[in-house]
Amino acid sequence: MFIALSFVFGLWFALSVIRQFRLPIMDWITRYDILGLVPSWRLFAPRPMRVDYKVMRRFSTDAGPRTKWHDPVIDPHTNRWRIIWNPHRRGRKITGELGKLMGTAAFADWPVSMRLQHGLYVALLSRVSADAPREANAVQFGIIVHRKFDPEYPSYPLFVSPFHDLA
Amino acid sequence: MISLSRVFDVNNAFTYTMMIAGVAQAIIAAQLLTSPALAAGKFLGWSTQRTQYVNSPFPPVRGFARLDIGDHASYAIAFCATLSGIALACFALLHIGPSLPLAITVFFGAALTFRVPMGRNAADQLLLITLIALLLGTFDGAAGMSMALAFIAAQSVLAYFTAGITKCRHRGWYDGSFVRALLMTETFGQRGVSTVVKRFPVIAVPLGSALLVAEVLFPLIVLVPVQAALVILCLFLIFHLTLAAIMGLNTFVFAFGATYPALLFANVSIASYLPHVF
Repeated sequence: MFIALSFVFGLWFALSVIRQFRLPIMDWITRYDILGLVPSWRLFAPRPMRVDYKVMRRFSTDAGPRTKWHDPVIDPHTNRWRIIWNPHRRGRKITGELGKLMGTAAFADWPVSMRLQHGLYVALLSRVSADAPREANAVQFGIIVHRKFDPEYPSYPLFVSPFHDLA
Repeated sequence: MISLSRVFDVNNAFTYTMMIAGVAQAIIAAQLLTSPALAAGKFLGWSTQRTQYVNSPFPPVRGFARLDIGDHASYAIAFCATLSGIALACFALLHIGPSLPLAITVFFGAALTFRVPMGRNAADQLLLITLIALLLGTFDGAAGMSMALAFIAAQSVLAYFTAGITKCRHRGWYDGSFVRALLMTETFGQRGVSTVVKRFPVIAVPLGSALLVAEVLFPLIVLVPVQAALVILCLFLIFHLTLAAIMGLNTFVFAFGATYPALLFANVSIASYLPHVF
């Protein structure tokens, strides 16, 4: 048992060390590592997230006119107890990851069918489609980059989706 | 005077690690349990989360992703994961045999990780690694426990060191611009803190540099005298508490805190093997 455990822990740690380098084999390991047991320890490195991503949405309706762009309030930020209790952090993390993804040049060239296969895109589409008004038949969403507490930072639209039919 | 080497012997260090990891699991799972986003059709609902497994290389995983996990099952998993974390901490406190509670905690922790794969952070990952290592460590008595603690300590050192080394490449950490920008976001900052940073931008310079230096030098934690290691880990704990208050990274306090007894155990063990060094 001692030898078996030594082998398991030794191999696991060796993989963990290798994972910190950007090697081609890591794509293979990451694909199989569904529980994230061989993580890349970055912790805000090399560059931290320095902007906020605000999600906006609007609906097209059966009657014709589109609703105004509005904030669906995906992740409330004000939580004075977040030192011990922060149930909204997952949603915020996903919004951040989505913003980073959509900020990449490659994403802009993806056809809609390919975007609809990406988990993060589907997650956001699903979220903005929730609580749709009864008369709505399609939803469109956009992501705006801004820095909430820095008014000098210029905000700009990062991505605007096409209209997606509501089921 | 109490000997620190006795306080952090293999049994005590294992128990402390288990206790803190149990609390971490309870908080992480309870936060998901109470998150409105976990419901069907929401951000963390199964219909969206399962898209992560569509291209999985494992056929059973792809098959599982096609199943419908209703709200009841999702909440049941999160609830059981919360309870198992609380139970683990209690069992550790009462010094009751760890294998079964650890196995149950690992099972529900893994199930919850599978159920909500998106938006994981380093704390979630380190916690599951810690729990699995602890479980494996129970298979071979004191030797297995020592190996598990050494592994957990090594992961913790690797995490801090990699983060520090990777930051070194970017000037923004030295000149404070990254810290300033980070604290001015709503995601990781707060209005009051951002006002202070804006008014006194120079304070971001030592903050960024100190973080970088502390992370790069973190591996020395296992080599310095144990009293010094204890003080350094207290400072890191304060650092994580500060980040929790300002940035909302509350789970890091417990997930990384759970590795600290293992680090002190590693420190004490290395010192006993190399008594001539210090």
